[in-house]
Amino acid sequence: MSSADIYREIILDYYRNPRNYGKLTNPDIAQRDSNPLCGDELEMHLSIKESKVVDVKFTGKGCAISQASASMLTELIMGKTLKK
Amino acid sequence: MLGPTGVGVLWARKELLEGMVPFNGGGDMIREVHKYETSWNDLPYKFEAGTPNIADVIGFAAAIDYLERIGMDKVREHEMEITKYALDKISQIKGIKLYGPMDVAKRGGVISFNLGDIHPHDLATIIDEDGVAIRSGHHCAQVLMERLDVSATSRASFYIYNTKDEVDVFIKSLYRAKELFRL
Repeated sequence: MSSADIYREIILDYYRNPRNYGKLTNPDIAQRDSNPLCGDELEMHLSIKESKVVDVKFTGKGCAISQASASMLTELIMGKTLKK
Repeated sequence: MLGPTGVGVLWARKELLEGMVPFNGGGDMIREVHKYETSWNDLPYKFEAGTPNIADVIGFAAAIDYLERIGMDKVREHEMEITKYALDKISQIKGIKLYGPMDVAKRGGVISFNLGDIHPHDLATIIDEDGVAIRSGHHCAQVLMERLDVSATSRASFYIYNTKDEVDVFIKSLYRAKELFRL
């Protein structure tokens, strides 16, 4: 299996089973945006406590890379301070 | 119509065009200009203000001559034949969702579709690697996408220069995309 195959596996896995997919009931930050060029849509919900991301969820539509990267981003920022 | 981009034809009833005022100002669209009144030139000059797109209009005329030499009935005949060939093949793919009537007499030379949960942009990118160019996205019809409850669709179009061999390459490429997405 080449490295390209492994990356594809990871993207496909996140596309089919997106981590942190959904909406928060009372988000401190809710932001939606779309890319008119390719039609991607993303909505991010964040819950902030003491300047820290304590919860984050996303919903969206788009190609595998757009949705997988959004899901990876939520994992990356979870628990981080706003400054970070 | 095989013509250059940036040029087209507005075909409308003469009496309606005569009743309309120019939408654009510039050379050629006026007859007389005075301090308090202006009169417009005759059709079609009234609507062709300024320096026209000369090169593209000449190119478009060449495209029309070319199509007339072939014959528009022949163009349609080929379009229907190749679209039917493609429809027969694509409808056999498991997981394919086709939009529009299955009767080729009731559709143009295009096939809109989705394949499993592969996003059309992913599908278009994958089959582009096999040299197959299709359109993917909203097709300037976001309301229709909402109505169909899809984020986008893929669309293959066929014309007089397309062959059945090319359709075969397209279909084979769709099977490859299925494999990549484990469908």
